[in-house]
Amino acid sequence: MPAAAELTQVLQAIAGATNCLSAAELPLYAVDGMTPRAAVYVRSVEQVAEVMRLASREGLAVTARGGGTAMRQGYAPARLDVVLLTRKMDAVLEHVPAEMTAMVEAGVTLGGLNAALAKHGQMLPLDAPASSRATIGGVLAANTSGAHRAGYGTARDRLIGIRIVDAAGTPVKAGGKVVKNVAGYDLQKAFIGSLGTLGVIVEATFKLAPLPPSRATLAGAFRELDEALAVARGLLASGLRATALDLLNARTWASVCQRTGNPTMSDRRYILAAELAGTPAAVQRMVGQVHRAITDGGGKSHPIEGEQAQAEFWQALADTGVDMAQPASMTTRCGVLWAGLPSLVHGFEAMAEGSKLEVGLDAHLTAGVMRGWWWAEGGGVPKDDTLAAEAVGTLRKAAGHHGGYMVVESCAPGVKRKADVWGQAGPELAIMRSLKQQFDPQGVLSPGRFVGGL
Amino acid sequence: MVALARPGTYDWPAPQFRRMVSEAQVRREGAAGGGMMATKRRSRSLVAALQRIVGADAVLHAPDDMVVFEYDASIGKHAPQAVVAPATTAQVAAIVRLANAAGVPIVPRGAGTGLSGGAVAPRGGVVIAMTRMTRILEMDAVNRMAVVEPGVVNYKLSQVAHRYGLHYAPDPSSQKVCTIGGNIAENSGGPHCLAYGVTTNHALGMEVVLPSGEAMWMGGKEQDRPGYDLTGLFVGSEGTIGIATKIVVRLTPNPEAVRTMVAAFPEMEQASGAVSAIIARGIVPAALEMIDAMTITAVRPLMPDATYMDGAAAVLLIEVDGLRESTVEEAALVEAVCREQGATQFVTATRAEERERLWWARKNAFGALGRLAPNYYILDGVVPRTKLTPVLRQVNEIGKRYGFPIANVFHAGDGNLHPCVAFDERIAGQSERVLEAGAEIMQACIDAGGSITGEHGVGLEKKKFMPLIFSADDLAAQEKLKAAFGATELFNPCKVLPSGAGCGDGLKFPQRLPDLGPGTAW
Repeated sequence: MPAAAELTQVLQAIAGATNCLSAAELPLYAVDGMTPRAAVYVRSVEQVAEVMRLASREGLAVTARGGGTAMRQGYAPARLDVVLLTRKMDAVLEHVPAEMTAMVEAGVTLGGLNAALAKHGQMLPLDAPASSRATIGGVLAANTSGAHRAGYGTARDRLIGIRIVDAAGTPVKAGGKVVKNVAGYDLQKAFIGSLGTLGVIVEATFKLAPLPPSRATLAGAFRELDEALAVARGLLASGLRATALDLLNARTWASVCQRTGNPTMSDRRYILAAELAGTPAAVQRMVGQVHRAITDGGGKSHPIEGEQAQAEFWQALADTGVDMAQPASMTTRCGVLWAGLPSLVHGFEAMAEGSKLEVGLDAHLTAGVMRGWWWAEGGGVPKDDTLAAEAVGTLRKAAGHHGGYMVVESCAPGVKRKADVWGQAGPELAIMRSLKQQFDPQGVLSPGRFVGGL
Repeated sequence: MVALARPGTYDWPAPQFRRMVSEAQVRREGAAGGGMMATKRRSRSLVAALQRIVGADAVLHAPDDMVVFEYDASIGKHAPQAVVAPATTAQVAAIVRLANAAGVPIVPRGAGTGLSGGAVAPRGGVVIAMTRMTRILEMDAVNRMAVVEPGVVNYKLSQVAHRYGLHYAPDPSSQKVCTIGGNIAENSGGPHCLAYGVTTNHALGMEVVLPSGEAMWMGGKEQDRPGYDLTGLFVGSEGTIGIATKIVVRLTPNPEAVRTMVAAFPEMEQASGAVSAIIARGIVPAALEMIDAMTITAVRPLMPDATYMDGAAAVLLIEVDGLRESTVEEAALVEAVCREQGATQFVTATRAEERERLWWARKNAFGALGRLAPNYYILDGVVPRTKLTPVLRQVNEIGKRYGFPIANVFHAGDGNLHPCVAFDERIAGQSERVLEAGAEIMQACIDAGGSITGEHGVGLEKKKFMPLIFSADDLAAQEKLKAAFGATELFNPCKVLPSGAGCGDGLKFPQRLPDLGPGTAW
């Protein structure tokens, strides 16, 4: 294995001197406290391929990084030599509005792409924390999702083609650029949520959605969880098609309000947040229906007026864990069905109280996915990692009791040392291991970070 | 090779496996005796072993009884050596392990409605018919999910879900007979996939019997489980990396209102233009289908009231659904766009029976076309929707050059073409030439930036086209995926990827069946 200086030299030959970071900058790109020996901005598929060929030849561990917004996911890396920075691969390669598809390089930010698409009345309807920094490659690798999955699905529903560079440095394409395509195995799915452990994502093609002619956002604040859930269930049973329907607890609502200026409604503990989209007349009627359901169900209804304010509200919700002023010390995600939701919400909140922590909850009700953001009392970082680490075990058990799962999406390195962020994988781990073995036999792609230590 | 001549495949009644076991076979089973040749004995003892797993009445092995298992809705055909219909996951697993030990290929099969030969057994062996596993195990209306066995018929699931105000969104044209298991294998689509997505967007998890014979769950009711998306990799794998034995599907709320419209155009180009224009206006209709002049000629005599078709070169069928208010506004916009693009007739229906009548032409087109020619080769290709006009022109030109009339009935909204090439297998050379014409049409789709299959899979038929859209490296990566699931040469061989020994060339197979597992212990 080459020495650090030598490694940087080789990388400079591949990507140019200005694209290789200096030794002084490297600590900024540490993953879970592990500082890489080099970091390089790549600007083309060929450069990524060259770096990967070098890595597989020399046995270097490579981690791809886009906007750096999801680097705290997964186990701490087993090894880390090179951080591959994709941020400068930021071209929108093709956008044909009449096709409603777009092909982009991995380093394009979600926010930037959506700004460009909006000029043509279209959008890539995926949510990500810090979407102005989060890159498409990162959004796919981390499989970020949020409130709008109710109306538009997640990355796996939007991705129609992908190009990756595999561990050996070979560019591989899967899917295509048409919206309907079943030619061959659906290899694209392997890379969504794989944290860069099977290949480096370099290009992606998406099925877009039209910007709805009209949108409205309504919050309903309730004293009791049961009231909020009963209203939500009633709305869903009525056939209402909300593009977002989330349950927030007071802590999450307070955090969002602090950043968006909405009223805190401090006597209310649970908030339903709904987005309704469609033609103006349809939206108007849905707003009336949701408003009535909220007030009839014992809640206080609060509309969030204006396109801009609505967009800010939903982005602020997605950003809750990465709020600069008060970043969460831990983010959890659990899969929970309706029957288990009340007990899990109460359980999470009781757990927080008992551990001198605070938890903000955001449940995507149509998907059965609930995020939790954890802070120390008063909003800071807990001084003692043990509390959060202990909570992980208890919470996972509670989720498992209802047939669900819980993972830690992000936490401090100290918590990671004490708690299992992924949890025990089932028998299907054998296939995952085999998949990793097939695509990265030497273990050069983010070794150790994924489920089962893959 | 025998060609397809079965118009209206989608109207077949669901096969009842048990009924297909003939009385003659029961008598033969009862009178099983010795004195046979060694190979016969081997096959008989494999049959006996299969019978021990599933019971005597769930195994077919007399050639006459297995005729319907030789083909699907493609133009490929090959006889299996035994057909077995398991009822449980454990039985499926035992069959796979038995076949592995015997060195005999297996081929899983749903209703056999696929267009690419996915259910055909090109190397013979054991066809595992999943049509006995037909239970809906759980209807979870609150979480909008169902857990089903693979043999559940697509339409049946929607019917049952309807009681809860829900339906299963992917609706292949064959939905009245095709099975959820088959849909999972092929990642099937349908007219309403334009707005709602294809099978993979509605499959949450499944219990799978792997090529090793081991059963395990991938995914499940809870979404975004940690780990690689094995569910996503499994859907569309055409039964080559496992057999789904239980499936968790997402159910979709029924729309409050539905409007169905037809627009008739004097020129095909105008209709194609309208497709792009509708999408460009930001409307994603629930369905956007097209039928062309030849199809109109076939269906018009069967639809006495459909005067809107007269003189049209193409008819678009457009459906919008959702809230009452949106459907009214969207329908008005659709009508305006169609008229701008040159539609001379425009009909709207909201009542169920009127809507059904408008759909009739689309749903029965293949059946009606069957009256015009003895055989059809139905293709499945995709083009970017803005390329519909030039590609349809090319398709027509190819048909003219080969002397085959070609009808087009297809999912225009997502650019998914289904050219039906009319031919007559009784005329020497036509069966070969129709494949050549098909290959040219595929090339036209590829040249336009499209794909070789939108919803029916690669199977046997499209293997040779795979290198036209994927590089050797791309295909090697797909091989790796296959290997990760433990795929073997015996597990549904010769499908999807252009490799495999003893597979023949696409739809042309070695005529003589290999013996039932050379060197088996039986």
